[in-house]
Amino acid sequence: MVYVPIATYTSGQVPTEAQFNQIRDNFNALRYGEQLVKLYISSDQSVANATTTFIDWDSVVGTQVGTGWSMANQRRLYNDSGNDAIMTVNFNVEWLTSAVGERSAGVRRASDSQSFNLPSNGANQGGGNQSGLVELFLADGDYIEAFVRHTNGSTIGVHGGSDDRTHIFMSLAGLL
Amino acid sequence: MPFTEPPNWQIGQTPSHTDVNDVLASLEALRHLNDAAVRVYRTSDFTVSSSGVRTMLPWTNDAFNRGSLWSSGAATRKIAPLDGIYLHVAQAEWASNNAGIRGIGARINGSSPDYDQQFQTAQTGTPRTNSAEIFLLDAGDYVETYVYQSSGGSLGMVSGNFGDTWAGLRLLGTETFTPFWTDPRTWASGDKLHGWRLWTHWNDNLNALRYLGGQAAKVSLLENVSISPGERSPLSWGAAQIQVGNVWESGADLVAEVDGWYMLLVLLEWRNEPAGNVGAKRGCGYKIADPGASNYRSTNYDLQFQSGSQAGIRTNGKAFIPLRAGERVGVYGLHDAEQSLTINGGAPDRSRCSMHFHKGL
Repeated sequence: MVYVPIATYTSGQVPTEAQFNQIRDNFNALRYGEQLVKLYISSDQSVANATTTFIDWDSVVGTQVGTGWSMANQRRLYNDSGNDAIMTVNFNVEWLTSAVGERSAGVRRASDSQSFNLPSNGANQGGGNQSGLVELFLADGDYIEAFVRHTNGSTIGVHGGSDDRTHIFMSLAGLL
Repeated sequence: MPFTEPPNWQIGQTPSHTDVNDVLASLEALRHLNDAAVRVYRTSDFTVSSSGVRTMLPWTNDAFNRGSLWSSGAATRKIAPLDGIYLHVAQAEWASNNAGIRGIGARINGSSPDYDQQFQTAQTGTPRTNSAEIFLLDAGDYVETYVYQSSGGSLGMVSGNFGDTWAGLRLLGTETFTPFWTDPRTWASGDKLHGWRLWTHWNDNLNALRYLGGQAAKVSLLENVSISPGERSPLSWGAAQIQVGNVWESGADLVAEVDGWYMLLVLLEWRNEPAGNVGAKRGCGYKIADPGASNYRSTNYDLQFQSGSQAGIRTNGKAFIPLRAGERVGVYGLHDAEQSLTINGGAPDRSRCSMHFHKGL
């Protein structure tokens, strides 16, 4: 849903039908979201020991509204709003194995490689599931990638198959 | 571009160009973070000198600061510029140390209660705590982000980048108006454009957008709740600190009144248990029931698991959920100790959760 700023009116000026309809579209854009997507992985993804591994998303929950994700770039969630923006990102990870080593996860912004991390779980931390929320600045055209990492000692996996397991949500919170 | 409180229109009243511009400005204000949002961080590491106390974090820089919520002269405070419901999000990154517990939370106006949000067992490596909670604030109220550690001595926190240790406060909306939303009509050539109905409609929609879509609740438990090992039974929430619309009724689940994406934040405070019954896991999650159904669907959405090997664990799960009107959300605690464990209730700063409308479906 496209939001288009409208120039202010001067005395005596009357909006046209097209301008009234753009105001309608702007209302709807705010109500229904200009940029919003929730993704998950349809199968487990392997993660080698001590290796930062990006999640290759392949399934959408509900309806995707912008944010630039596609199967051509499975790990990237773009800000394609046409504006610099603050994005809300919710990343939830479910690990298949959790008894040994540290497990960390987060999202990395492409333009400066800054990482925004989830709560990490160490050895015997009970941890199969990590849940994080960040609100970050993302320039128009910039993107984030979600990553995981562990020190289990051998390859283990993050759990996929349905949207109650490893998933990510990103939505435009607003413009600066 | 400030948000302008929409007026009430009367039959026969004709809007001026100024009225049109007020609508446009208010739309822009809503689009620009509701006019109030800040994210702060530190450019240097910070040492938490005292073990076992809650230490307010002094921030050195802001990544953005719309509405002037923060200034270096009051480095620990994020100040609400307007009455409203705010989202507080924070993260702390700790130096490697595996003794005791690490926590993060929020304090309002410098006084109790302390809202512990995520407390977890310490670990080596680069442990991180991440938290999110909504608060109802008056203009001038301030929120401080604190950290807690029980290593037994001083302990460093990693800063320097704004992805390490940071906090944010953002106005989500206000509580004091009951709005409704109606999808705006499409206009065709020759339609009458200046009717008072149009303006009433627009203004109601502006209010609906400003006031959280009319859908928000923050609830807590009236008393402690015992949870059996492996049980995922939805909790019965008994008190509301925030309520907009009909997202919750006493003793019941949270429920979507309209179709939408909802943000769910779950914060559970686990009671200290005697040695021998700590188990390996403390967690939280949710499940969904169809409209009018007594049973929940089979899918369990587990959110956050943490070790139970230290006393004082708090779990904080976050999720965005697409819900149809009438669907209910049951929030549960989960553990794998050998005997039943308890989550604390009886006060707003103990086990609690919130759900609010984020966007339409």
